[in-house]
Amino acid sequence: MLPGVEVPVDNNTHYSIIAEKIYKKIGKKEILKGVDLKIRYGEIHVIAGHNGAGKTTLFRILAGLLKYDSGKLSVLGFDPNKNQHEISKYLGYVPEDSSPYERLTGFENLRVFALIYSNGDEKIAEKFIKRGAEISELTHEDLSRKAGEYSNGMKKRLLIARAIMHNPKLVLLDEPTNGLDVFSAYKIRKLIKTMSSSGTTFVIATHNMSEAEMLADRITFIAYGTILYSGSVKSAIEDFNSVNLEEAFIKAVGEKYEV
Amino acid sequence: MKSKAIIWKELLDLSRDKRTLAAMILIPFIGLPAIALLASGLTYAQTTTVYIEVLDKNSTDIARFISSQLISYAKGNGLKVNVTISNTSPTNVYNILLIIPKGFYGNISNINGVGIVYLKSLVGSIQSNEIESLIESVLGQVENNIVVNRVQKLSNISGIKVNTTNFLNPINIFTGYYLPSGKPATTSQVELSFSARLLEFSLFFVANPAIVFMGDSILGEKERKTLETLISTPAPKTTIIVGKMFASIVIGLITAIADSLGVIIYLSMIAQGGLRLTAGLILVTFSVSAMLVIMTAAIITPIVLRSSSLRSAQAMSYLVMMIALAIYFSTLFVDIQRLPRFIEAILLIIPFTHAALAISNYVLGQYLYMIINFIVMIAFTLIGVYISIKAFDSERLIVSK
Repeated sequence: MLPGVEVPVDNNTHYSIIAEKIYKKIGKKEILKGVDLKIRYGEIHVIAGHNGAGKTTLFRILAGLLKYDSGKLSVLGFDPNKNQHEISKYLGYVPEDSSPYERLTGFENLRVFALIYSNGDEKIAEKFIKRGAEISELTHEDLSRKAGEYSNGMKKRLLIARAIMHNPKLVLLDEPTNGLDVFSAYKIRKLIKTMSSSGTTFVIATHNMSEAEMLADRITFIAYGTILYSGSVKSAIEDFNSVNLEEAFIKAVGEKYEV
Repeated sequence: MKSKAIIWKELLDLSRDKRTLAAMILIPFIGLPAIALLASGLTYAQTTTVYIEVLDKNSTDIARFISSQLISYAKGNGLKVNVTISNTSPTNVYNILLIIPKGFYGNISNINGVGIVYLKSLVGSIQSNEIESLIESVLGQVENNIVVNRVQKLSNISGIKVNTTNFLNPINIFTGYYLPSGKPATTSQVELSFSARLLEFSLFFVANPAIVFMGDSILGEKERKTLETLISTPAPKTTIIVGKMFASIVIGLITAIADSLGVIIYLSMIAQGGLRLTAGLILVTFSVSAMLVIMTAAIITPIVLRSSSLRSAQAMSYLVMMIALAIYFSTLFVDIQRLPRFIEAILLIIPFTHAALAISNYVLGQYLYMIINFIVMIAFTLIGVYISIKAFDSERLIVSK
């Protein structure tokens, strides 16, 4: 483990996330309608759903950036409504449609977050930066260029590297390959697989069922703010008597809603 | 020490935004003196044309006297004037017409007579007004000579010896200035108080950059899609706000110095006799400017945090800027401390007022009041920071559009 990061493990449970009947309204619109969810330590858990299903809101609640209205939620043993600061120490988060600091170089982007995660300790920060550079698979030359000059794939790899260089226990990636070409998307999936083998929990939101099938240890279907199904990819396909996850998702949604 | 990361990032990010920095620093620093040069150059390039139509043959010498005195006065005021004397009506358009009608000399030669002249200015000519007042001064001199001649005539007739200077000026007026303490003010203090007014006006340009940078620092980051990640890190909200505020203050101060230097150069060029500055006044102005930048950043932050977008923050910031402009512009013409109590009390509630008062209190030797002005500015700053921390709502920042 890297210095400077002591990861707590809630010994009372095997789950890094436990959500019970989570409700959330934004303005007048109810986005989450009683979400129940359990995510195990060390797994790659994909939250699959259509656009507007509530994935991003759920992620923001898990990260402690939005407060849920009612229900019970434990993230790494902490309630995000009360202990966002504690969770943030062990969290890596890449929101959908986020961007690196485009006027800063790749190295400088890593350095900003390395200094935050190391609490200003230069030596630890240097180790984080080195690790981030390795994770990103960007060359030294690329990392010395301004991030604004990067391709979308390079930006996304930098963002993910920046989010996981401090070895967090929980990583939330919202649509990590959205809008990327096939090579960039492949590299990111490979990166997630490699990182998860070291015990990090990855929660990935996507509307791409093929990607979900490739990545997920376990999957949760979400539609219109409600959880429709949670289990392994294999059991999802079997339970919905489908040939693949895409068909399973469509059947799962079709059972509850007219689509 | 997470603040180190935030400040480092903010300064680096802002320093790389070269276009904005250039626009904020170079344009006022070079542009304002250039405007002054252009304005004075254009003013100097103008020549005012004066046509003296002498219809009274005996008044030709008077017309010549007026012409030579006018040219001399105009030269002394940095103005160019071209005078034509003729006994016929003008065929071209002139800035000013001075008509000396028939019988003028006869009337002024008579001890009870009244000479009449007609002075007409071309509509819409700014320079005509200045030359017109110079012509009135020259005519005043002519008038004085006539009165002296009349008094001498009467003196000769009556046999009473008359001192014409004392006869014409029976009251001597000695003018001077004094400080609020009752002590007489030196010439230097009088000149400094004039400079202080211009420096107080230039404070508007000091406050402005901090407003722009603070808005961009928070809502610009939101619009560049980098804010959500930052607030998901262990950096506490106080650190994020203070870090961003600090960076905005540093860049705001650099920009403010350049801007206010540009304004001071501009004002020195347009103010007759230039600005009188002392080391003390420069030091106080710099300290006031620094405090003003810090206070403005602190005041504007809660507004930025409660705005849904950079555009709405800019709209609200515009209101704050207008308040600052109203205060600093009024210092050119108004003595805030001499206003009726209730108006003064209202103005003292406005944080920007204290920056202007600190400079004027220094110049007037009221050092205790100047310190109080600084303390009030510090208090406004602390209140602004406190409200900012309370107003920081990650949900509002992320969700609002």
